[in-house]
Amino acid sequence: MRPAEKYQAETLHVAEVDILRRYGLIRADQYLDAIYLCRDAQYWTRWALRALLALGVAHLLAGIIFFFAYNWDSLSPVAKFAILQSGIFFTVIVALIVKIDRAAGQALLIAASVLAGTLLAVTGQVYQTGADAYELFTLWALLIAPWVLGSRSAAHWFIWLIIAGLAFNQYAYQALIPVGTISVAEFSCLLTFVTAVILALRELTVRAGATWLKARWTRLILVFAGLAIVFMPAIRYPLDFMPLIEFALGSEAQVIAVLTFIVSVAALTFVYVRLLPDFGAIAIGTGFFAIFLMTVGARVLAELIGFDWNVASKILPSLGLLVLWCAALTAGTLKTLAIVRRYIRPEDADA
Amino acid sequence: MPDRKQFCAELGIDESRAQEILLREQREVSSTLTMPWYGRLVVGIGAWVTAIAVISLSAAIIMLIEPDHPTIAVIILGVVDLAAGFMILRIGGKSVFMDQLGVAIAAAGVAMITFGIIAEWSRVWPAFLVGLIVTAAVVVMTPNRTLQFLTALLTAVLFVITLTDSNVPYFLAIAALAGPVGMVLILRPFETDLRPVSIVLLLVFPLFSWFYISTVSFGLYEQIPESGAGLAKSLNIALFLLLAAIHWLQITATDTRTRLIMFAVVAVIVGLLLPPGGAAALTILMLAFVLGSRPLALLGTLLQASYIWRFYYDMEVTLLIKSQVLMAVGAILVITWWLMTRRAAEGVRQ
Repeated sequence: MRPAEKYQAETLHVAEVDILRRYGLIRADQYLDAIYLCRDAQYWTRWALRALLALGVAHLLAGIIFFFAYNWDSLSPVAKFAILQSGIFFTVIVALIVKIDRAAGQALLIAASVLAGTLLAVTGQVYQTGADAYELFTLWALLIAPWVLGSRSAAHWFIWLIIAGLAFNQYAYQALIPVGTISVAEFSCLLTFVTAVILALRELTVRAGATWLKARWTRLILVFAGLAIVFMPAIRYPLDFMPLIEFALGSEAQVIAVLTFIVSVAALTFVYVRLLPDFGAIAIGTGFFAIFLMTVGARVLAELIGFDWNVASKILPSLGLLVLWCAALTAGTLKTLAIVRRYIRPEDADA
Repeated sequence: MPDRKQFCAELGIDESRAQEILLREQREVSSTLTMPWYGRLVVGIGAWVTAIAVISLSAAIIMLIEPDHPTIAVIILGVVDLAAGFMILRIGGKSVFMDQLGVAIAAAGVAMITFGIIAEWSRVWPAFLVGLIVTAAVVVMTPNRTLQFLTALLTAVLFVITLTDSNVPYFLAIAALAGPVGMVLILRPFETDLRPVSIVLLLVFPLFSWFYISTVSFGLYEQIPESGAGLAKSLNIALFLLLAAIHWLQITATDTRTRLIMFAVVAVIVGLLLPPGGAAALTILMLAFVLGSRPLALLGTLLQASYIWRFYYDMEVTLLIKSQVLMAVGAILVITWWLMTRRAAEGVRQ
C-alpha cells in the first residue's frame, strides 16, 4: 500500500465495525464489544434523556387532547375555559421556575403553546365566532410568538413555523386562490421563497452565535420543506400528458413552478457545496432533481414516440428508453453524491 | 471513540489488515463510509422509480403477447427479469449504472412472479414461499443491499397478508416473532451482510399493527385472544429487557446501572400500558440506543409518534380510556426523566 493511501481516519465509527465484521476480522461474539468501543456514550446518554422527555410531553399533550375530545359535549363552557387557562398558567409558571433555557422549561412552554391553540379552538366553538381557519392559526402564531422568542428552542421554533405556515396556507386557499388573486402554482412558489428566506435567517442567526439553533435538522427540514412545496407543481408540468394527473396533482400546470424549482436546486447546490458544505442538504436537492428529470424524460418520450398501450411500436421503445433513462439517472445521482461527498471538507461533512 | 490502534489491540485484530479493508471500502462509491444512510435512501428511491418503469414495460409485453391469459406470462416474464437482473449485477462489476439497472430489473421480476402467482392461484401463501426462496437467492448470489431490502420487504408484506387472509389465529403474535429474529441478526451478525433483511424483520410487527390497529386493543383492558396482541406485547417487552440487560453488561458505573434499572422498570410499565405496536417502537428506540444507530433512532421516533396519532382511530377503546392511558404514560416518562436528570446532576456534583 502506498503511504499516501493510508486510511485517513484515526478514530473508528460504528459503520466501520460492520465492515470489519463482514470481512471476518471481528467475530460474532465480539460484535457488541466492538460497537460499545466505538459508540459515543455521552451523545447517546443525552439523546436518551431528551427522547424520554419528548415522548413524555407528547403523550401528555395527546392525552389532554383526547380527554377534551371525549368530554367535549358534557363539559360546560366555563369548565372548558377554566381547565385550559389553568393549564396554560400552570405550564408557564413552572417553565419560568425551572428556567426557560433548560430542556424542561422549553418543553413546558411548548405545552403551553399547544394549549393556547386549543383554547382558541374552544373559544371559536363555544361562541360560534364564525372565524375562518386562517384567522385562528394567525392569532395562535401571534399569541405564542413571545414564548417562542423567549425559549430559544429549535423545536419550539419549528412548531411555530408549522402554525404560521398553516395560517399562510389557509389564507391563500380560503381568501386568495378562490378569487383568482394567485394561482396554486404561484402560491407554492411564494411559499418556497418564504421558506428560503427563513432558511437564510437561520444561517445568519447561527453565524451570529445562536448555538441553540445549530442542530443540523433545523437546516435539513427547511431544505426539504422548501423543495417539497414547489416539487409537486413542478412535476405537474412535464406530466401533463398522463391521464389522471389532474386528479393526482391538481389542475394547474405552470412553467413558473418549474423555473422556481430549478432555481431553488441550483441555489441550494451553490450554497451547500461552496459556502456552507452540508452533504445532507445536497442529498435532498439531488434526490428531488433526479425525480424531476425522470418526469422530464417521460415527457420527452411522450412527445417523440408516445405511450400508446395498444401500439407495440410505440409503447415498447418508449418504456424501454424510460427504464434506461431512470436507471442512468439513479446511477448519476449516486455518482454525483459520491463526488460531492469527497469534495466537502471532512470537518464540515456530517458524522 | 477509540483510535484504530487501541481498537484493534482491544479486540485482537490485525491492524494493517483492518486498515487495508477500510481503505478499500472507502474507495467504493456506494460504501457506507462515503455515503451516509440518507444518501443511499435517495438512491434507493431512484431504484424504486426505475423498478416501476420496468414493471410497466413488462406489463406492456405481456399485454401484447398474451392479452387474454396474462398470469402465466407474467410469471415467466418475471423469472426472465429476475435472471436478467442477477446477470447484470454479476457482470456489471463496479459500474454504478449497471448496478442500479440490475436492481430495478430484478426487483420488478420478483414483483411480477409473486403477483402472477397470486392472480393465477388466488392464494397468497404460495407467493410468500416463492418470495422467501427468492430473498434467500438474493442473499446468496449478490451483496446488493437495495435488492435484498426490496425482496425482503415484499416477502414480509406477503407474509402479513397470508396471516390475515387465512385468518390464522394469534396472527399478531406470529408476526411479532419476526422481531427477535431481526434483532439476533443485528446483534450477532453473520459475515454475510443481512442488515437489510434484519431491518425488514424488525419492521414487520410495528407496521403490521399500525395498519391493523382497528382490530387490536390493549392486552390489558380488552382481550382479543385470537389476535395474539397480548403475546406480541409481552414479546416486545421481553426484547426491550434483553437490550437493557445487554447495556447493563457493557457499563460498569454503579450510578449508571441504577438509572438503567429505574428506566427498565418504567419502560415495562409503559410497554404494558401502550398498544403492542407502541411497545415495539420503544424496543426499536432501545436498539438504536444500544447500537448507537441514528437511522434506527429516527425510525423508532417516527413509529412512536405515528402511534399516538393512529391510536386515535382505535375503535375498540373509548377516548376516555385512551386519554387516561396517554396521560399516565406521559406522566411516568416525564417523572422518570426528572429523576434521572437529578441523579445525573448529583453524580456530577459528587
